[in-house]
Amino acid sequence: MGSRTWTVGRQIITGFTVLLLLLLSTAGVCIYALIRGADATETTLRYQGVILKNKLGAPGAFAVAHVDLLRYLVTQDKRFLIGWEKSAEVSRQMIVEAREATVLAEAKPVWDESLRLFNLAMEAGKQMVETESSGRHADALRIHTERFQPVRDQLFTALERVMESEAKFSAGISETALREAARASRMLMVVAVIALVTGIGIGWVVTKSITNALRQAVTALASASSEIVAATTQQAAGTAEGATAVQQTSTTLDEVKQTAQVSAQKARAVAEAAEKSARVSQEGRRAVEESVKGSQEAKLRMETLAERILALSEQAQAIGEIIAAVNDLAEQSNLLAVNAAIEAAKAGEAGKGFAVVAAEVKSLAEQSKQATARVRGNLSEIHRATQAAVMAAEQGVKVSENGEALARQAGESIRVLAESLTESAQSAQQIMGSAQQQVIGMEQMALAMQNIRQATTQNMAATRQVEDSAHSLNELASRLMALVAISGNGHFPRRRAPEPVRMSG
Amino acid sequence: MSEEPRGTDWQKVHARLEQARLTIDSSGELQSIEVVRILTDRALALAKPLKDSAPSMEEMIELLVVSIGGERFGIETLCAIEAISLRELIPVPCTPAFVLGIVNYRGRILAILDLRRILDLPGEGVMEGSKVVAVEAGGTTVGILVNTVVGTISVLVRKVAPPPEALTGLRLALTRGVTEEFITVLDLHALARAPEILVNEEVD
Repeated sequence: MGSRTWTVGRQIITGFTVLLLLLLSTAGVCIYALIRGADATETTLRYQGVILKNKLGAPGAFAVAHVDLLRYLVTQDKRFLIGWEKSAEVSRQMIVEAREATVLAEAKPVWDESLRLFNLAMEAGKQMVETESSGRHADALRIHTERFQPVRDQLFTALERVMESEAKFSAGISETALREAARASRMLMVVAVIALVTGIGIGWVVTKSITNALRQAVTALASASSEIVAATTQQAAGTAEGATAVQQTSTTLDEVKQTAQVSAQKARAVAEAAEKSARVSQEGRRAVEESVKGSQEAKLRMETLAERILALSEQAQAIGEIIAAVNDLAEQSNLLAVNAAIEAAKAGEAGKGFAVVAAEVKSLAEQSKQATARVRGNLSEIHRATQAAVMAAEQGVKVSENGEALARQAGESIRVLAESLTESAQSAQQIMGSAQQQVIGMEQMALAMQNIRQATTQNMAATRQVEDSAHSLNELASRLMALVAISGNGHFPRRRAPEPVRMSG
Repeated sequence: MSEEPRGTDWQKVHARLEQARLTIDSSGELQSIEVVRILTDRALALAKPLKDSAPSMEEMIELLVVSIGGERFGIETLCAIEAISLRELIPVPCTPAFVLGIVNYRGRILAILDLRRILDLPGEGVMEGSKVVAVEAGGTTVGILVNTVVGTISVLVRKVAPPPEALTGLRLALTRGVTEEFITVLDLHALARAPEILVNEEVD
């Protein structure tokens, strides 16, 4: 008892079992004592009743039979014989009954003796009746006096004797029964006291152990319920945040879905644009090839042009030579004119007209010289222009070569561009496909989000229920505390959790 | 092909080319109208009466104007024989610096004098296009190297001013006068008489 390892239920069961055993033993003792007492009483009473009845009845019945017999003797009325026989039978039965009932060893032979004496008396009575019926009244009386009377007296004496012994025996039985009853009551008291003490002890121990365990349990229950309240509050807040997050996520999902649709459209547009660009790039490559050809053609033309310009320059050189000759001629003409003028002057008055001609010739020569000078200037300008043109042609050739190289580069670039455009067209188609799949996935996710929202709402309701249950649990803990009277006022101090955040939805 | 940022107006270019071709083609031979005009002008000029009829009463001097070392000099036409181009100048050793050399002049030997040396004028001697004026003075025929032969003019004698007093030495001796056009009239007789130009070198 009182072992820590024992559970409360086991303690209670053990205590009650012990108490029950004690009660049972007490009850057994009581029952035993009662049975003993009742047996004794019943035995005594029955015995005494039987004995008394027979003791009193047998002589009475015998006396009645005797009276009837005597009446018959007096009246010879046969009806009295019936009474006689009846009463005699009653008496005999009483004796037999008493003999059977007696437990006293010393009473048995007395009862046998009584029965023997009764039988003798009955024989005598029968003899008397026979005698009487035969008409011998006097014999009958004599038999009555001689035989019946003594037997009857002996019988009565024997009955008296047996009555005395029976009475004594009966008194002994009563005394025994009383002693038994006293013993039983003492035993009962002892057992009751033991049961009381044991019950109190068991009750104290069990109560103590139960109270301790209960206190711990209730404390744990109170703290646990408070924690549950706090946890459910947090969970409610978390669920509310989760619901908000789910709503935001749903909005975001819608946006992402729209974005994905837009992406798909854009990707389609990009793919179409890329195909168009591929066609354009093919045209561009053809144009570049033509441009390369054109550049080569232009280079050839430029070279031809340079050669032509060189030829022109050479012809200008020839013109320069001619001009030099013309200049020389003009110089000579000038001199000739001067000489003519000199001669004219020498001729005096006669040479005056000639002098005019000479002056005219000189003027022509001067004009020729000026013209040749102008032509020379033009020729040098032509030479400079030719040089510039040749250089320009050279530069043009270089530019054409550069243009050709650039065109080739452009063609290469267009080719690379076309390849990358084809790749981007494929990528755009892939993007289109993935964006469509994304849209489908977004719709599925939106459905899932709806389910999550419903689940969150249910979760919130469940959390509220849990919270209410935790409050109930807390109150239960308080009541239990009050019940086990742990606190002074019987009220358990409950940790009040803050009001949980209520969700808008 | 063209480096110009603006496109070339090829039609204009073709038009210009055509114009140039026409010009070149027409410049070879003068048109008949032009020829007629020139000839008419010339005839009219020749048919004019001599304008120096009035001043003919006065004494005139005819000058051959030449340019030597940037200055213009006048040589009396009566002294001048001929203006020729300087060809095949042969330097003559043991002569003064003003004697450039000799040339073959119509089968005769003609000494070429450099008046720059005599008159202390700047500039180079023989140049491209230098001319020689053959003169006869004092019985001597020499060639005077000139840069250019300008032409002949007639001036009034009274318009020829005497030499400026600033001139000294040989320059003064050789200057007969200065015209209104600042043409120095050379006195070739003085040149012929001048002892400085006599060549009398002896070579051992």
